[in-house]
Amino acid sequence: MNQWLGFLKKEWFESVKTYKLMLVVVIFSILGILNPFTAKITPVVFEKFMPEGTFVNLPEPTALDSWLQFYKNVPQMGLIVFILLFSTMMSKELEKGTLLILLSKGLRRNTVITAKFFMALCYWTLAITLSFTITYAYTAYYWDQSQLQHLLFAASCLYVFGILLLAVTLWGNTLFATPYGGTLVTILVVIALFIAAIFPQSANWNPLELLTATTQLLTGELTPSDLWIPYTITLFTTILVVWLTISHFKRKLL
Amino acid sequence: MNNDIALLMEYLPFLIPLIILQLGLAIFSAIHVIRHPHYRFGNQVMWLLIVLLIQFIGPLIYFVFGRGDHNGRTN
Repeated sequence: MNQWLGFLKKEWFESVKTYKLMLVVVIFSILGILNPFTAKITPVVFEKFMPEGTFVNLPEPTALDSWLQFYKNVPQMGLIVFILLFSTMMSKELEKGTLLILLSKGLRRNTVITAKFFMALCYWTLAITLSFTITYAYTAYYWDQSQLQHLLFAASCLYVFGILLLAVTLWGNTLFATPYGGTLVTILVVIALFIAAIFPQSANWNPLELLTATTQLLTGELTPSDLWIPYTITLFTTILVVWLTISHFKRKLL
Repeated sequence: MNNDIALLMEYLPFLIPLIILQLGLAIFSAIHVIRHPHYRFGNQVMWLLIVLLIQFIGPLIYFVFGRGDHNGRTN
């Protein structure tokens, strides 16, 4: 346990020194501000830039529009940013060989994987919390959000899906030991999920459903109980992928 | 004109933090690019353009993929 905490501490200092903390805080704050801003400004922009005489009847933006922006921006931009940021977490040390010294001094291999995954998890939690809080604050200031349903549950769906992608990235990164390996594997997995989503029956289990269902969750068309299968599948797949990574890394020749 | 200023004032709570964050990130990265002239690939002009012109993805790509390793200073 002591070893684990020590390695975690090293990971934390490394991430601060490589500007990861700064990038996560700044980028996810920007994303958080952008959501209510886009929702509020879109009708105004339409009015200004439409040619004279065209009459566009756009409804007043509501709290729902702001949250729709959140569930559009954070899964797209936010996840891309996050995966890029953490796509080198294994390969950097494998390439430079710094891990070899620690391992030969008796650091256990599963410590490396679990501590790295835990660190990335902490960052993802920070990122989601930050952008959720900022969007929430602005939305609460400008609109009435009482009619929105399951706001926190929808955010947790996004969170869980992010964890799955994080685990997949770590696995790809360990497997190929190149900076691009992790990103590539993640992109392939997302493409595979999208292909599976073409078939309507897959909505029962596809983890991607966690992202697409957020809109219906907010309007109350779906309830959390409709999503428990994809939710648990995502969680179990995450654990499975992390376990696979550990068992793979144990056998890996460095 | 008056209308425009009123409009601007209305969006100020959004614009001030957005501009501070985006400009801050761009300027910080640009300074970093100039002060640490070792890159994994590409040259200074290329990284300056990327960092200043592509908002928030540019600095991200620079810090994750472009930043050289052998820099003693951290600031």
